[in-house]
Amino acid sequence: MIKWLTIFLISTLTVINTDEIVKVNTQKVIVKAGLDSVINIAIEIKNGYHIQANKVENQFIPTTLEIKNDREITIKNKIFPPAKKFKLKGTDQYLNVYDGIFEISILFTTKKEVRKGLHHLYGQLNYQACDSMRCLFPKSIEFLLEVELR
Amino acid sequence: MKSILRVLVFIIASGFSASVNAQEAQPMLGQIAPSFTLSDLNGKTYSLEQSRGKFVVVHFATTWCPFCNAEAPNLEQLYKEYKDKGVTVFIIDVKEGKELIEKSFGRFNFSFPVLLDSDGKVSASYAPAGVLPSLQRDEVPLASNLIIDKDGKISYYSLLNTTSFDAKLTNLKQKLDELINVND
Repeated sequence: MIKWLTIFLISTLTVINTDEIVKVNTQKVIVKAGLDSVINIAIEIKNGYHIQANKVENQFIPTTLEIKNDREITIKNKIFPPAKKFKLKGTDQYLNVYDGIFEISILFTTKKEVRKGLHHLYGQLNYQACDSMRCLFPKSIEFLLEVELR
Repeated sequence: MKSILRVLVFIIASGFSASVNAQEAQPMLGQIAPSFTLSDLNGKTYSLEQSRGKFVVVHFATTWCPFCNAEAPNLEQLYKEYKDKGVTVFIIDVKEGKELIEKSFGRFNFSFPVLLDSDGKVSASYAPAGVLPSLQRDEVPLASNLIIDKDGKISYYSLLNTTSFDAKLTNLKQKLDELINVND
């Protein structure tokens, strides 16, 4: 059993990366070195829009999250929320989508012997957005995650 | 001073009203459709000019666009119903590779050409000026349907006329019927 523990989750700093449709809100996480932990990032979709979910039918473009490992921080898993169903008007088809505000949890582990202090993890959210009338080209938002190792 | 304020309010209100109307109306109606010459998946070249004398239905698509996928079988059905009535259909795929298009759209077995707008320039040329300025010009027409009449003029443009998504192409067919009947 993987035992992971968040030592502190302090909202002393909120970083927002945004484009026209999607905002990525991140908070600095403070972790004791050598322990596993989790970062939750909040994704906010502009009212009236949705993005394709993480699990979609083959032809569609899923929402994905890329996080580059730091030398002392290793990403173990990324947990996406369940999708909502969006009915295409005039059809019997339902799409798996996200809208409103939702969270993605990033599970990570840290080495015991680490450089103490602030570490930055480079992240990129890839998504394809639509509203009820049209769809937009796939886009990406880059952001930084802050992890303070103590 | 009051009269100046009234004039200012009138000008602002008129501008707002015009902007709202521009968003609601079908754009570019009556205009000569921007010309294009594009290759299909087999490398055969098609131009809009070659189709003069026919009604041309154009659908701007990408393989990942849910609206386009939902419409696709109905476009094929429309083509079968109308091809003997002087109607031709093109899908213009925007900025995607041939292999992906073949793989994804292959399941629809289109009888009409799927044209490759590899750099998005044709799509951008169909983006009405000033409409959706925050979008890239080549993404504005995505999932739109147009009818270009026998003289090369735009007779129907579904761009901002989608208060309800017309997957079954009911409105498009209705307009086609009107045009065909007028020309009979």
